[in-house]
Amino acid sequence: MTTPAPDPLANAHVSVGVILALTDSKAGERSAELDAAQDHVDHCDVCWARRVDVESHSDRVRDALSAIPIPSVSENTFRRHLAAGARRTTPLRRRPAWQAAAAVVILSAAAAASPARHWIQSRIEQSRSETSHSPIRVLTPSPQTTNQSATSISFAPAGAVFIVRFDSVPSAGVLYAEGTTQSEITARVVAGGGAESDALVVLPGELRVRNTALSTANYSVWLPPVVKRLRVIIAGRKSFDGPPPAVVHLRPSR
Amino acid sequence: MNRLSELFEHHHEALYRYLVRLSGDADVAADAAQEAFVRLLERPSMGTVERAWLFRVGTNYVFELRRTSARRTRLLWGRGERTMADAPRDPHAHVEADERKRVVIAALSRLSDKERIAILMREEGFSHREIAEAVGTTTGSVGTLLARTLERLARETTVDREAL
Repeated sequence: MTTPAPDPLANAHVSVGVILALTDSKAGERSAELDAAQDHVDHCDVCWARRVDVESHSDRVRDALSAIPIPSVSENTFRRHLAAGARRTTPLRRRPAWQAAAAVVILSAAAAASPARHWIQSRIEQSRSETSHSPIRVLTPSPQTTNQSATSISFAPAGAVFIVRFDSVPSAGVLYAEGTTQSEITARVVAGGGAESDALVVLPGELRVRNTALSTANYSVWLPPVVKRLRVIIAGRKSFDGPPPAVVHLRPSR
Repeated sequence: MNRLSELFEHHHEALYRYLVRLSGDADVAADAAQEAFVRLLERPSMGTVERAWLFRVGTNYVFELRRTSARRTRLLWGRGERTMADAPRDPHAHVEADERKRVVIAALSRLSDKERIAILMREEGFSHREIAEAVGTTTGSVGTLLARTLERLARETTVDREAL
């Protein structure tokens, strides 16, 4: 009895890996092996069906990945991010007042872009009776801790997550976050040495603290029940992410 | 156009998108992209390989963060989160989109690092050879790795979606 000769086509089918390589490559850039595989796929129903499956998987994955939102980053935003990163590695020095002023101007320009523009417009509608008509509210703390009412700012929450973002890792300082039964978020800065040039900037869902590496101020925020999570970002690094209340040391011990 | 503008225009969008998907965290991705660009700017021009170099440095930065911070590990892939860039939507669409995002992130998080890097680099148009170099395998076997991962990811995101 003789053993049947193996079917020459049984092992000739193209693997899914090669089929994907065909899908992902251009006709003119393929190796001779891939050209031969393409020829096989074009004439083999089994491999053609596998190619259809592979392409279907690829399409479905592409569709699935599109469900992850990607925040848009302009070149200007990226340059500011780069500059902030560079400041972290340069010798400590007080940021000149013109830089702080420039930052506010830049933020005002950013406010002209959607969706921040819509959020800010709604805030303006709500606060027409208030003294400030600035699209972004900026608070510079008083150096006198006794006059704390002058260093508080209140605004409506934009969602369940509230971010407090510090530009720089300060020399010292603590952020105290507590709950409140009020419907608005209130933030207060207790000025310390070097904090005179700091500013609080209200953005959608975020409080931006324009501080410097010399800052020593403490900060308090009171969060209404709608805010379920507080996120504290210091110099681009997430330092805290959890439900309030929280005490966050702004200069982590090494 | 200076070098930074040129690099930004050519590479930032794809790099940042890749890093957001890889890390599951827009802040981590921004830091990683920044780190990659800063390191690239410190080097002389590398021509056509600088794109792959940027992705490799960004990837390493993300994984380095994960290795050096236990807390960061919990944050990565913890959950989807709404960002400032998300436009307000109607409540039903919002819930569905958030759930869809959660499903996709969960499916990605179940992949090995090698599978995730490979699939996300492919999505950004890298060749099998470049992907093979990035994940430390051969060009011949990276196709199988990709095909198997695509099949798994397609199945897991589709099944979960239909269960919604």
